[in-house]
Amino acid sequence: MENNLLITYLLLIPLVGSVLLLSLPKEKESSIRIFGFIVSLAAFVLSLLVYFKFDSTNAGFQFTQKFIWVEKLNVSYFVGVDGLSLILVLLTTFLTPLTLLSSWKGIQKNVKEFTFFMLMLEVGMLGVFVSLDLFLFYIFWEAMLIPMYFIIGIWGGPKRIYASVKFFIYTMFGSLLMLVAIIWLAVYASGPLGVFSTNLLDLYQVGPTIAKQIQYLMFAAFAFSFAIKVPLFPLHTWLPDAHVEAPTAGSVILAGVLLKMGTYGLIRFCLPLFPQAAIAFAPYISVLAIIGIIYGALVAMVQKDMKKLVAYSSVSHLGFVVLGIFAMTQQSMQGAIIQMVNHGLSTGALFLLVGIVYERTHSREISDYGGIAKVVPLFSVAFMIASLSSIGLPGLNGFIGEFLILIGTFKSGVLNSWWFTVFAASGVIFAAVYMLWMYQRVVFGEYHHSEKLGHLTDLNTREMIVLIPIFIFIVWIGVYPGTFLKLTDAVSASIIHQVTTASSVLVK
Amino acid sequence: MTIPLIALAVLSVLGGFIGIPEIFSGEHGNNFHSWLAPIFSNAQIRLAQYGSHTHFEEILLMVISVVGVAASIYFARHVYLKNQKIAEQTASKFKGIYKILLNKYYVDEAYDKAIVQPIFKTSESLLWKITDVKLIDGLVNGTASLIDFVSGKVRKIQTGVAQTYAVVMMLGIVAALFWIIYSL
Repeated sequence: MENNLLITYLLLIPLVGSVLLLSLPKEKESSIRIFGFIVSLAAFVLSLLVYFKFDSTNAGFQFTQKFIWVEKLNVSYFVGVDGLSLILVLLTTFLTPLTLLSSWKGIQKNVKEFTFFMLMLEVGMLGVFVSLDLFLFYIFWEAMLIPMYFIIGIWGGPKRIYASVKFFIYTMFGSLLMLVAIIWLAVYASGPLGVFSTNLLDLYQVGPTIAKQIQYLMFAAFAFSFAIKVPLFPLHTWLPDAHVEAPTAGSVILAGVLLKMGTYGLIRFCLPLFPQAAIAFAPYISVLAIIGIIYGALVAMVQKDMKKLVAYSSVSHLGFVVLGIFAMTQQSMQGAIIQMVNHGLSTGALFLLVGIVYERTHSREISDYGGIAKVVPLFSVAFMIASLSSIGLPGLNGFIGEFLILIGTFKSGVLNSWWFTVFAASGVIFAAVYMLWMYQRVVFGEYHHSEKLGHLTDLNTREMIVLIPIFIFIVWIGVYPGTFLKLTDAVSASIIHQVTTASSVLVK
Repeated sequence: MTIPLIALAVLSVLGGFIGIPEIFSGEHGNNFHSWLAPIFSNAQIRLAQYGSHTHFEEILLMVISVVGVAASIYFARHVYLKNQKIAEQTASKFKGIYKILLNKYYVDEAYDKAIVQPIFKTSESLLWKITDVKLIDGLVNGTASLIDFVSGKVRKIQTGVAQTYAVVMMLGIVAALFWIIYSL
């Protein structure tokens, strides 16, 4: 096993940065902001280095590092990346500096604590994506809740305490089921392996040999925890509250990265560890995913608060991702992975834009707006790009993901019915309805001069610097997705192979 | 409206040249014809079975559309520019039909009533305010309230009075003794 320190450095940059940040005096707010931004930017640069050194033809884990951590339990610190985790690591390190930059004006109280929690959150998120030991994974998975809890609870809106507690307990409830399943799995593994083990690569060998009935339970425990995070209908009600109450930076990270941990977990753990159960459950989960697509879109349509509308649209978009995962074809899996990134970019941009107008007018009510295109032309263009990207306009990123998912689902042998595609595709239409309708009501129409709208000013340079990188990737993925699909090609093929071979062996 | 219409007119003229009929441009002059090739190769094979095609349909369609457009222009000019009375008289003569046509057969209204409003209302009341807020969130918050309620009741066992604890302990010992004696 190679012993590459690159991933560990990636985790250490924000960790050490957040600790060093504590030594800065509280009053020096701008130096704290600059320091936090530089630290997160350094993490992004390092993740780019990982990207350039990454061999995308290799489906296995690269840049792995492993050392024994808890000897008696055979638990090790074991990290590494494959195409799936790398693309999400890049999304995380890309969004974190942008969100820090976006909260330059929005966050005014306790800047030091805020920056500290944002960096700690980055450590947690990166840790979740690079852990190759279930014990380590679980620690990062839980640890990441804490900074998010504080970010919503301290810097959030009026109902922030309710939202943060609800978010915390909801996710915690699911993760406890997963913890039980992890312990069971590790104990079971001590049979065939001879030792208690939480090493993911060992468990990949052991998992598929578990008896069918127990596999179902294990799968359910893992999937339940991930489904809450995604969130899959009907476990989604923490999301509108958390998204609406969180400060802009929190919403962006929540939608951009935290939700992807759920879908990441489904691909990384549920599918390869319990292949037979995954195939047995696939139609049911896909039905829930489709309900989520349509339900999320319909509920988004009738929202009066812009942020809540975007929050419900996430339920709809993540439904597509889950459907793609459980269709288990090469296209649908790659579509699902690219759609995770897409959702991070487009919904991230939408939350940023809603945050930008909210900072000026202190209103997110759609009915308070109208005809602002004349007053804030740059904002209107940016809002248009983000909306169209979210709808899935051909030429922008959303289209690639949705198209691949729908094609893959149509051909799926596991689902084996084109009804899934038919219903899922209707979600695309509803997406156009709620997004364009909101856009129309906010940006076009008569400009009615009110005290709130009087404060509206166009995007400033800092906000442009935040948005333009996101838009570059929105267009890049839309026009030339090959750059990104190449990363996930080998890994999706290998995961599908793992699932299908393991389950067919058992069936025979 | 005039400027967008001019732009569209110019584009239409230009657009027509991309798919200019073969009769004007020769065998491969129509760029649109082979644009998606070879996707429709099956259709091409079947078309070949019908032998060479004449340009009769092309010419017929061209004549019909040109005559139709010219006639419409003449008619519109006659009615709306030169003799506006004709328009007004016809409108008052066929009031019912005029109203239906003016409102585009009420397609928008029918669509709004039959499709848009039902979806909108169901989404707002049934999906959002009932399923989401009342049902799912009710279950979630209900669980929390239930635990809160039960804990509130159970908490009262902890009275803080030593005598109560002593009595409970005694009762426990008695119960344990009975259980041991009976199970012997």
